[in-house]
Amino acid sequence: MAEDLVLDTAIRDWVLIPLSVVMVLIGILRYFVSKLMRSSNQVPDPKMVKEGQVIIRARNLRAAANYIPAKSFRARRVYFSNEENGLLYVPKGQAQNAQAQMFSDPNMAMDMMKKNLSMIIPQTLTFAWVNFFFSGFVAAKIPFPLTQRFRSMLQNGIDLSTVDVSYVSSRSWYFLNLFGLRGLFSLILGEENATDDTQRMMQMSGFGFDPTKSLGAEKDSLDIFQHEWALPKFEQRAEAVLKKLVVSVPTPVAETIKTEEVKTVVEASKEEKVAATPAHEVVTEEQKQVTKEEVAEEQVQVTEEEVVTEEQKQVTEEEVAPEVVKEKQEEATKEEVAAPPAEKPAAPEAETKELAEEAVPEEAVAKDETKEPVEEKIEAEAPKEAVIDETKEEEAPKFTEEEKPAAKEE
Amino acid sequence: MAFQSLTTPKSDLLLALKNGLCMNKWPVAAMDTQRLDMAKDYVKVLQEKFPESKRVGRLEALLLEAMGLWEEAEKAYSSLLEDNELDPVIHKRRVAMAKAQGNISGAIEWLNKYLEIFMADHDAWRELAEIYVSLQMYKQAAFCYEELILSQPTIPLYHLAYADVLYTLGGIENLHMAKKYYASTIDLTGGKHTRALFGVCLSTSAIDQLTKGRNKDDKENSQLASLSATALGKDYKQRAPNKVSLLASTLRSLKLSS
Repeated sequence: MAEDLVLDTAIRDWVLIPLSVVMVLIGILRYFVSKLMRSSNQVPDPKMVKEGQVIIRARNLRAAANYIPAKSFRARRVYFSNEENGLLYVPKGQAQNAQAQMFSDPNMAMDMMKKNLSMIIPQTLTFAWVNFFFSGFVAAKIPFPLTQRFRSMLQNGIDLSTVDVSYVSSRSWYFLNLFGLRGLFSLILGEENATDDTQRMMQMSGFGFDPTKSLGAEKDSLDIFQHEWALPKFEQRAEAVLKKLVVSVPTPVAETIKTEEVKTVVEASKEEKVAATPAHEVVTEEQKQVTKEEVAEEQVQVTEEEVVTEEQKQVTEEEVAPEVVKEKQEEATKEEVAAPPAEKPAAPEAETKELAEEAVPEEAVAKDETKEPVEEKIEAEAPKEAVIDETKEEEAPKFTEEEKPAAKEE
Repeated sequence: MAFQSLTTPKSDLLLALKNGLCMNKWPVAAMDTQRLDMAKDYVKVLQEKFPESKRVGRLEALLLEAMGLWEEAEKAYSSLLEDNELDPVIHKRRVAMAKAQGNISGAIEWLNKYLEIFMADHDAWRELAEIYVSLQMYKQAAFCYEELILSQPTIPLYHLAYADVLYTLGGIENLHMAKKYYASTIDLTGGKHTRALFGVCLSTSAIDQLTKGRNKDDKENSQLASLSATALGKDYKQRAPNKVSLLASTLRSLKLSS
């Protein structure tokens, strides 16, 4: 049943655009009128001002609470929601009073009346004008399909029941503009403009006393809030930032130089047991990606160097670390390295990437000391394994040797 | 604006004022540059034009303040306040007057009263924090800086100031917190803020000094300090190469003392 009605472009020129323009102009007019009418008795009630400020402060507290220490947050929370003299605490009796007071105070009532009038009259007039002049024809097509229920609302002037509900009359265009031009008005007229009908309609329709309700709401949300101090995370982030800053200095001049740097970094970090691993992981990652594109020669060079470092590392391990620790580490390395050779049938380059990715999030988690050298070994071995069998064969006898003492101990 | 008003001939300006242009700014500009005679003329013109205006009343009181007649200014402000109890500008002028007269505790009092009502005014909190720091009342200053961080958590300046105050207060807890806030400053400024880098090094060494006997946590704290030391070295090499040796010796002494 979806026939395509072709709508005359004259409709667009003479209905849609003029209607929008008229509404914008009326909105601006209303803004200035309300400004003029508002002038004289604007002595702000001290209580209202204070409550407004309290709400803003409480909201700030909730928004940024994770940036201040837990103690201060708790102190402030008590200050706000304390039963007796907390700022946000409003006993129920008071709420009722305020409402009654609002209505009996003649000034306030007059103000509200004026505001309402300035809102309602232009709306009514415009609506009547639209109905009178722009009814009885299809004005626009809504781009999405609608159910039949909307027919009475959107198609009031069109008395054909076979027309698709997407074709609407100009009344719906009026409503669309009414709610949609709010954004435009806040752009043109700055923040507080009287054309914020919809907001005020929502507020005043229940005739609730605003400050009291919002105070209560703030208090509740503050009570619920869980404080999670974000500062320790910041420390780590600062480290990351600094690392990036510091490491990015050695710009890659030649591949060999880079690998040597990697080697030295790996050794140095291992000595101190400080995890500069993320730094050199970054570098090795880059290096890996580059080596992928490079010739096999390059990789052979790399692997040779890393084999050397591997041996060196194991030597230093045996010299420095105590016996038990050494055994544990070697077991661990055996396990870890045993895993990659098991995966060897998979594409080796994909494997290097996987390991790199595994290693990087691992680094983010709190590390064990045993894990650190292991990770480095993975990093060191990954490019190696990507290419050559000989290293694996070298490793294999080493494993068997180490397996034996481990087995013997057990 | 101020310079314009100083160079154009007087009659033109008065004429312009009579026609209501920039009525607020020129008298204030004149007072800022200590041309009190010009300011007086402006204010007189404005008074004729707008006899009962609040703004002109404020300008008059401001003029009295600029001339140093404190009592008259005080009276003028109080009378203005009677009409309109909640004018934030007048309250702040009172605080400024107290501060200018050297009556710092009075300034604190007025400012606290102001903040009881207008507690979301972050400029006022900042002023209060600076006053407290100048009086070495660091706990209160810390509170004010917390307020500032709450209202604008992404401004590194407040983190840095808070860290400074915590570091000055001292004690292991505060030093740890100070280090964290220096770290957050580094994070917010991309690692380039020299003072924050120094702060990290100093607080780390202070913490080490205090926990010399215990050797509890050797987690990852050394990273941050060594990284910031490296970053500092880089920075100095780039910007002040003749001071690199000074920096190196300072950093070494920090590490040695720990």
